[in-house]
Amino acid sequence: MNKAHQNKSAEDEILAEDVLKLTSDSMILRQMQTRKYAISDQSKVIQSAVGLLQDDGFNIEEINSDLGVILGAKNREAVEAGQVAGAVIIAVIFGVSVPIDKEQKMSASIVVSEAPSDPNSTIMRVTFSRLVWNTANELSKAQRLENPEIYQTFFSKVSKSLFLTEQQI
Amino acid sequence: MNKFKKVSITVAILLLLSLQGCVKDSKQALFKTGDASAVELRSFQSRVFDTIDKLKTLKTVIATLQDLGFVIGKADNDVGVVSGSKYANRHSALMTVTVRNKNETQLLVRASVQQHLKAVEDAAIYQDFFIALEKAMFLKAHQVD
Repeated sequence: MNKAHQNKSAEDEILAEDVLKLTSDSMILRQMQTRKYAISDQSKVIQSAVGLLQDDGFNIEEINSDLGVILGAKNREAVEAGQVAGAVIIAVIFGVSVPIDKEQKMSASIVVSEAPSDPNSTIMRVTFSRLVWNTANELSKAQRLENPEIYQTFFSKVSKSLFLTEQQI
Repeated sequence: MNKFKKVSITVAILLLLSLQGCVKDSKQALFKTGDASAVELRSFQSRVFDTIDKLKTLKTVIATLQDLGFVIGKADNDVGVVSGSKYANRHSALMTVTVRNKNETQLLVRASVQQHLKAVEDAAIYQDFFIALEKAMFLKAHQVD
């Protein structure tokens, strides 16, 4: 996990010819993005995931229950204090305005499937990513979000959500 | 004045020369492909697997795309399509994989990728994908005859 974290900046350095190559990080990322739940009812897990995305303000953009695929997305502000400060300093010193990040589209892609060696368990893998546009309306960032904390937070919510679903409240 | 005229003509010529690399009509991109022929492209992009379990194959394709860092955007098991995108600041790729019956015992998997505003026509890149898929499928990927 630490390794994935350290390589966070390296994710932007993929070479065009390596786009479909598995790397040593692939398995670390898989671990970080996957959890197994001791529940055989996949539709229940899918329902939980959808409810959870709604809790966090995501719109459900795509869903296929046979394949266990859910795609959620939300548009949010992306103004960051550091960037604003930098832009102000540049404007004061050089008298030019530089574009700063303004809006972002955050996506969550969730895949629910049967655990390979254990039909009584369900596996959930989630990947987060975002696109960011700046004040000049240019796409300034296109990132996979590979920070371990994001995934820990998400999966602790899943556990709670599954519990809620179980309880039917 | 005469000198100014000469300069402006030179500038105009240089400008026209610089436009040489541009296309006449960018709408032509609609049906324009790269250097590979349709037949070549299909052979790069397609493999046959000895299974008829379409749902399981689609699920394996999805898992493989996730391993490769793709975000799954769309999936449909009736038609047999999965699409995803892989983001990285300087490098983003879009990919679509289709799975359909080839005959009574085999499935045909076809992948198409675009990156940097171009269709990928490099056989080695598709081979990377099928190597990863083969491993996940526990089945050999055959070239299409």
